[in-house]
Amino acid sequence: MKEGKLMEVLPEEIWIRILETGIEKWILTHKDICSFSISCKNFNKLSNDNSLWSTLLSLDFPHFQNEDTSSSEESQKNLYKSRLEIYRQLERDFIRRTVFNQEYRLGVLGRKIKRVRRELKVINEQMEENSGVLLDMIRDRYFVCREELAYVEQEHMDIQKEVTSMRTTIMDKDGDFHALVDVGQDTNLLEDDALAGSSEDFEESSEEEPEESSEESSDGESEEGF
Amino acid sequence: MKDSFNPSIEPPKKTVTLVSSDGYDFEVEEEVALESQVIKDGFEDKAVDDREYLLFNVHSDTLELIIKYCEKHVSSRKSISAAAASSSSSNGEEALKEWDEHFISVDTNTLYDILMAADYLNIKSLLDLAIQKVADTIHGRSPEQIRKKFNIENDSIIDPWASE
Repeated sequence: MKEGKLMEVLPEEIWIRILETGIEKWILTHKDICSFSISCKNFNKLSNDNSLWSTLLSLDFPHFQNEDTSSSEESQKNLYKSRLEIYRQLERDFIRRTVFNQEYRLGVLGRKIKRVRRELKVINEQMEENSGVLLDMIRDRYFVCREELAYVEQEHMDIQKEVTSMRTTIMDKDGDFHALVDVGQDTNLLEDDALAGSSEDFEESSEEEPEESSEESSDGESEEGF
Repeated sequence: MKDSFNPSIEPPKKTVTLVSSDGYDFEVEEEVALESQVIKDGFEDKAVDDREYLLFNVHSDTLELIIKYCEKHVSSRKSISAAAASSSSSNGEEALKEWDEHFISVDTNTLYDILMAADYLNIKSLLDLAIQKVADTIHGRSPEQIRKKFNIENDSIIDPWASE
């Protein structure tokens, strides 16, 4: 059997079918197509296929569909990119709002914790001063307060964690978003001059870095080569 | 093994001969060969005593795999429909899926050969299986990992101004 680079010379139609099938069966995402696209020139050319990106568009942004049937001339890949930008913007706004609401809730819970702690302190003092039936009642109240405190503190902690992780997400997405915008302008400039569109290699790698694990993103970075 | 695939039990079944690109003869049952749409299409036109197909694009190693696949699918189909007829529940389809999964778990070069052969012989289910396998292989991999997996040189750092 022959050696080596066999997969590279697999006929174009089969590669297209592989990508199409992968997309239709939800195996391949836009990120996978981008990774594929920058792995070599051949794959880059293959993955610019308009029908692939229009399938991705209809799967990932089904509600956008009706608008621009007029712009069928436009590259579906660019269309996908601009929708992804809008989507990410919306997503970012949503997370921001959620963080805002949760921070408000944290304030409320914080005040509640203080109040219950104060009450517990008072109860402690009362327990020392009283005896008999009264002491039993105070003790009951004491346990109720302890339970409530534990509950509220737990909730406070959970929300705190959630907010922290959302903040990180926002930071990541900001980076992601800006990378995308910068690159978008870049390619528009380049596309006027570079007929082959080979410059698009660079755009893809920065598009996916921020969302990948750190290991993969360093891979992506070395891809860029400038 | 390479010379005959005919188990020749019971009443003699009709067979056809498939010849690999490197000259090996494979005698297989008619219905197994008919899994290939290409063979099926030209089948009726051929004389009964001339049922020999020269498969110039399929190496014997690959052909052996392809035949294994077709035989399995023909026999599974029979047992599944038999189970359906006797209305007994069967996990035949499930088992076949597992078998497929195992069958297609091969190295990249073999996968390539299977892809090419399935395309050439037009065996749709096998082609779909192989195609999905490649898509699975791409999924979740970085460009560098894709290159490694498919044995591709890194030619992607392109000077946008250079002529192709």
